[in-house]
Amino acid sequence: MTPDVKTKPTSDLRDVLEEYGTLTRDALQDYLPKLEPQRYLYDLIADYPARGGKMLRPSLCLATASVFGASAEDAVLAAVSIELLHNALLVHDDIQDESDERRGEPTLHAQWGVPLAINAGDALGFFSLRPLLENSLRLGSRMTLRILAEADRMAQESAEGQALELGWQHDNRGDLADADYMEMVLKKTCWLTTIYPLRMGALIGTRRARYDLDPLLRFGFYLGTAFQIQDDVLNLLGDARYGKEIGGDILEGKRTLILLHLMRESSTTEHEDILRFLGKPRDERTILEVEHIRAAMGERGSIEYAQAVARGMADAAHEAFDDAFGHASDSRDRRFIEALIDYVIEREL
Amino acid sequence: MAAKRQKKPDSARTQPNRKSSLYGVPTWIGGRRSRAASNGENNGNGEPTSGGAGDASSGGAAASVRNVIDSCKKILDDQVERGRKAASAQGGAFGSLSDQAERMIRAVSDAVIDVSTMWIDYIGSVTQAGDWFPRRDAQDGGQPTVQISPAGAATVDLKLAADTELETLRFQPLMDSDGNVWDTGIQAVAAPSDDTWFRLVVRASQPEGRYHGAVLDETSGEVRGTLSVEVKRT
Repeated sequence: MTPDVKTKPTSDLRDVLEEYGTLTRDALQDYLPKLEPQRYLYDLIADYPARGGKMLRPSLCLATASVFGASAEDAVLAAVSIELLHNALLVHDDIQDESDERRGEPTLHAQWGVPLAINAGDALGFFSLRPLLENSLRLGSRMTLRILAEADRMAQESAEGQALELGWQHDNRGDLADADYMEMVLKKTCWLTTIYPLRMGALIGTRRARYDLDPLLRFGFYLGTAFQIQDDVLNLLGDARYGKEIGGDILEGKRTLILLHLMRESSTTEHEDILRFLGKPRDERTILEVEHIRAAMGERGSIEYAQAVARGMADAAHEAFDDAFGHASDSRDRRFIEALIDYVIEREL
Repeated sequence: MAAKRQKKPDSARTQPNRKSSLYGVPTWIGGRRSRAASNGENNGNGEPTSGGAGDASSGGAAASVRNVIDSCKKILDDQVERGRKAASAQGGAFGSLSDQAERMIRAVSDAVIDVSTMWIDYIGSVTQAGDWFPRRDAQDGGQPTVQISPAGAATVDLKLAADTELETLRFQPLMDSDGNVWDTGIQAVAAPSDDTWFRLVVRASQPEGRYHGAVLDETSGEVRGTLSVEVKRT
C-alpha cells in the first residue's frame, strides 16, 4: 500500500498554525482593551479576531522570522500587527462588498450599521501600529523604521489593489486580461497576506535593514496568488465551512480569473449579457442569475482553468521558495512554509 | 498556435431553449464571441485560443496557463523596480548605507546582546562589593537590566563586535518613554585583548526606566543603530 505522504506534513502544518495562532491571539488581547466606549467601539474591534480564522498571515511571519534566526518573542508583536490590520481590512471589505456573512456569522456592519463598523475598522487599522512601535524596544529604532517603511509599502500596494478591484466594478469593465487580474491580486491580496509577513519576518530574523527581500516578494506573489485563486474557487464550490456566501463574488461583480475566463470564452451576445448583469445595481441581481453564471463557469471550464493556473502558480512558488529559503537549514518552520504552497490550493476552507 | 479542442458530448437538446435565457437571448450555450480575446490569446480570426469547457488540461489550456505564469514575470519585475525606487527615495534612511555601515549596525546590536553575556562576570564582581548587582530579567527576554542601590554610581562595560572602532561612533543620550534623559558618559575602556570595550556610567540617581538612544556615525551623522538598556531600582 502506498503511504499517504501528505499526512505528516499536513499534520505539522496544522500544528504550526495552531501554535503560532494561539501565540498571536494571546498577545493580541493586549491591544483589544476593555475600555469605554466598550459597547460602541471596543466590543466591535474584538469581534472579528474572536471569530477565529486560519491565522495564516501571523504564522507565516513568525515562521519566517524563526527560519532567519529570530525567536518567537522577537516577532510576535509584528504578527499581532499584521492580524490587527487584516481584521481592519476585513471590516471595510465587508462594507464595500456589501457582504452579509464573515466567518459564518453576520458581518460587523450587518450587526451594527455601516458608520460604527467603519469606525471600528479605522480603529483596528490605527491600533495595528502600536505593536510595531512597542517592538522597538527589542528591535531598535532603526529596524523599527525599516519595518514601518515596509508597512507603508504594503499599505500603498493594498490600497491600490483594492481600488483596482472596486474601480473595475464601478466602471463595469469587461475588457480585462488575466495579467490585469494578476497585478490586482498581487496588490490587493499578496502584499498583506504573504509578501509583507515574509519580508517582515526576514527583517526581524536577520536584523539587517538592507537584506535583499526581492526573492521573498517573488515567492510571496506566487504563494499569495495561488491562495487567492483557490479562494475564488471556494467561493463557487465551497460548503458552509467556507464562512462566506457561496457565489458571493458573482453577486458582487468581482472580476475573478474565473469570470474573466468565462467572458473570454463566451459569444459576443453572451459577453454582453454578462456585462449587463454585472452592470445592474446589486439589489437587482438575482440568485437565479448568479446560479446561471456559476453553472456556465462550470460548463465552459472556467473553474478548471483557474485551478490549473493556481497549480501553475504553486509550481512557480516551489521554485521561488528555493531561491528565498534555499540557504536555510531544514527546520520545522522551513517545512511549514514550504508545505503552505500545496496547502493553499488544496484547502477546503 | 491553436490547439485541438476536446469535444463535449452532444447535447440532448438540439434547439436553443429561448425560455431558459435570463437575458432574452439564447446564451451560455453556443458560439464563442467573435471579438478579439482580451487576454492576448487571439488566433488571428478574432477567436480566443484558450481552452473551453472541460479542456483545462488540454494543450491549449496548458499553453494559456503558461502564458499567464509568464506574464507574471513582468509584473514582478515592475514590482521589484518600484521597491528599488522607493528605497532610493528614502535615501540616507536605508538606501545609501554602505556594507561597512551595515556591519556597524550589527556590531552595535551585538554590543547590546553582549550585555547579557557580561552579567555573569559582573555579578561576580559587584556582589562582592555589596552595593550593586546587575541581573537579567527573564520576563524581558534578554533586555539588558541594571539594578542600582542608593549607595552610589556604578559602571557597566560592554564589548563591541570585532572590527568596530569606538572612535567612529557617537552615542546620543539615552531617553526613556517618560522623557528622562540618561547621559551615559560613554567612554573607551582599555582592554588587554583586541576587543573594543566601552563603559556605561550609571548614576545612583538614575530614574528607573527603559532607555533607548541612537548610535550615530561620528563623521556623517548617519544612524548606525540603537542602544537599549533598562534600569531598575532595588
